[in-house]
Amino acid sequence: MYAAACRTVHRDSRLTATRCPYPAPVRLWTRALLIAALTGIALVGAAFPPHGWPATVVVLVPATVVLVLAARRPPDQARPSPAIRRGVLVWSLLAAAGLAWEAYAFVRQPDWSRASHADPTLSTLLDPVLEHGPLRVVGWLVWLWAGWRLISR
Amino acid sequence: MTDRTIIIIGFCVVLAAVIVAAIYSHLHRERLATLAETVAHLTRTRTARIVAVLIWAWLGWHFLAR
Repeated sequence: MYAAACRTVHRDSRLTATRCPYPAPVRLWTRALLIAALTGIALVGAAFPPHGWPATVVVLVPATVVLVLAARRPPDQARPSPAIRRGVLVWSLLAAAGLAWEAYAFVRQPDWSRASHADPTLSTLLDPVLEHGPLRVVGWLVWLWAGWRLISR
Repeated sequence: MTDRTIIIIGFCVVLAAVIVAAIYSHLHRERLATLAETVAHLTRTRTARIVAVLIWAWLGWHFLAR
């Protein structure tokens, strides 16, 4: 709600971005440019096979940009609403359940340094999907989009 | 039932719960914040935001480059 109010004020140009913790809304052409850039990075990243340094470099480049932008954003002092507090509880519980199950699968592996077919972790299950093909591009796009969301809200 | 099947079912159950929570939060935002709103709240400080970005970067490396 605070973000929405802030965005409205931005649109009216009565409050500058320096006074509002949220950035001004992304314009259409900026959004198109951003989508093109993210798609380009995803295609380049997907072109490189996993388990190699070129793919690692393509991960590091956007990660560094996002890290710099995240560090430059001013902190937000907004108070959490009851919905936010419930959200923190519910989403934390779900994250904990997912992590606990991942840990369960991981410790059941006979050799912790080697993926097990019998006791697969999430990465073992996703590896064949994200190894090559269109789904690897989708994986890259989802990851890049998540990074953009981290700094654009 | 093999161990593999049990583990996959476990992941499916967690995924189903996430989908239900995501749909519910989008339909009833006044009762439950969406995942994006929750993450935005949790990352309102600079330190938390940097930690979140580092986790995100590690996930990218782990799933896409490792």
